Amino acid sequence: MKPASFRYLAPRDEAELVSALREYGGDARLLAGGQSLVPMMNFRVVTPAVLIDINGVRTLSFVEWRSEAVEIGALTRHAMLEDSKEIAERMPLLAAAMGQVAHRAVRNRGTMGGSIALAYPAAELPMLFVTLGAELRLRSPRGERCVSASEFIVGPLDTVLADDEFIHSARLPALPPRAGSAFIEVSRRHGDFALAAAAAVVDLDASEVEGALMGQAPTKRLLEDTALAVIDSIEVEGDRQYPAGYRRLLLSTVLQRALDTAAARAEARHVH
Amino acid sequence: MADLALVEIDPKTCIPRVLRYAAVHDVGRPINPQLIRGQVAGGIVHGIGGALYEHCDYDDDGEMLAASFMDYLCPTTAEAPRMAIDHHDSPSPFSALGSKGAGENCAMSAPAAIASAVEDALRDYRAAITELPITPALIWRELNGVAR
Repeated sequence: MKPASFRYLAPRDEAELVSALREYGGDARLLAGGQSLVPMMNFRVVTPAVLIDINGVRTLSFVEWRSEAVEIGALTRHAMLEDSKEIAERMPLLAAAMGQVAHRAVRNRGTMGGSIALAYPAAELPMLFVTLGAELRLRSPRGERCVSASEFIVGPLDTVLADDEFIHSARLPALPPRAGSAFIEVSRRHGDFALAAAAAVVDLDASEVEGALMGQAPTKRLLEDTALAVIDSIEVEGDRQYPAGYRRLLLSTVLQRALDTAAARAEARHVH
Repeated sequence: MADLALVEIDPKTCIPRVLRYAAVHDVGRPINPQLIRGQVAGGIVHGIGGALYEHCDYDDDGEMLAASFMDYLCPTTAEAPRMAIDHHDSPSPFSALGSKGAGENCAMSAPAAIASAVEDALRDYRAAITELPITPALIWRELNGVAR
């Protein structure tokens, strides 16, 4: 399988990237890790006239800690996040999610920005960013704007990213120090796309919680009921391979396991 | 030949995993036992593919649903179980060296052994595995008494 012919541009800094987007935005695709885009081009699902390779724009690859958040550049590889000791300590939920992204070879190339821009529904990062309330910094020839991950992702494979815009970075707020978290994913084989995945954060000190949970101990029964109520509100489509009833079972399983594990971790850290 | 499969099914995900596998095959007089071992191990993983993953499925319009390795699932090293492999050496009277074929017979034995193990795991549900691959949806239907 070979891609349709395209023009190749390789900007060396953000200024060159911005001018390339100004000129070719509507006809162009950005190439970061290429772990989804290149197969899609080879299958000719997408046939961009221009490919803008941003791998030379080094200023887009960084992990920086602020007091209450971590900022991650769009070109940061999954493997960099997976290997970071600081992320393992301060953002264990992110570290756990990265370990579930395909295989190591994919994580060596795949980038944060690429995963978010594609907004593939079975991918780990889009779901995690929405869960954690991440904020995305977008840049274009017209300037800069910040949108939350839940505003950014409109639906499966659909985002608010404009033709001439690129993701610069994401800002993830730190979890409360004594919160417990868990990332649970189900797939048929090691490294496959998730059939279902859930991320949970349990903070026993939180002042604002869901009405149904307020003031109650996180018993298994309570978490189970909460999970089932949430799943009832999710629109689930079945298909030939994975019927809707089976998908609902998977959703309740991952959600319950994520809540159980996160609650147990929060209890272990909680000072009574 | 004799094959034994230990299969675990998570009832909350309906996903089967082959945890351990034992195979003793009659290879006649072995010429290179190490090579036979490799052939049998590869055949077992091939058989796991046929039993649990590899599926040439078509939709109602005749469209092939597994036209790439994104959709046609092959087992990898991560799906390979711990194996115990031995040979039963009874020389063939029909070949010059007394040797027989080896390895490829796992493509027959492994799916049968794995399907039997799944039936055994689901015995409380009186499941009858009559088709391959044994997909999570098939197990879900057996567990919930859902007709196809």
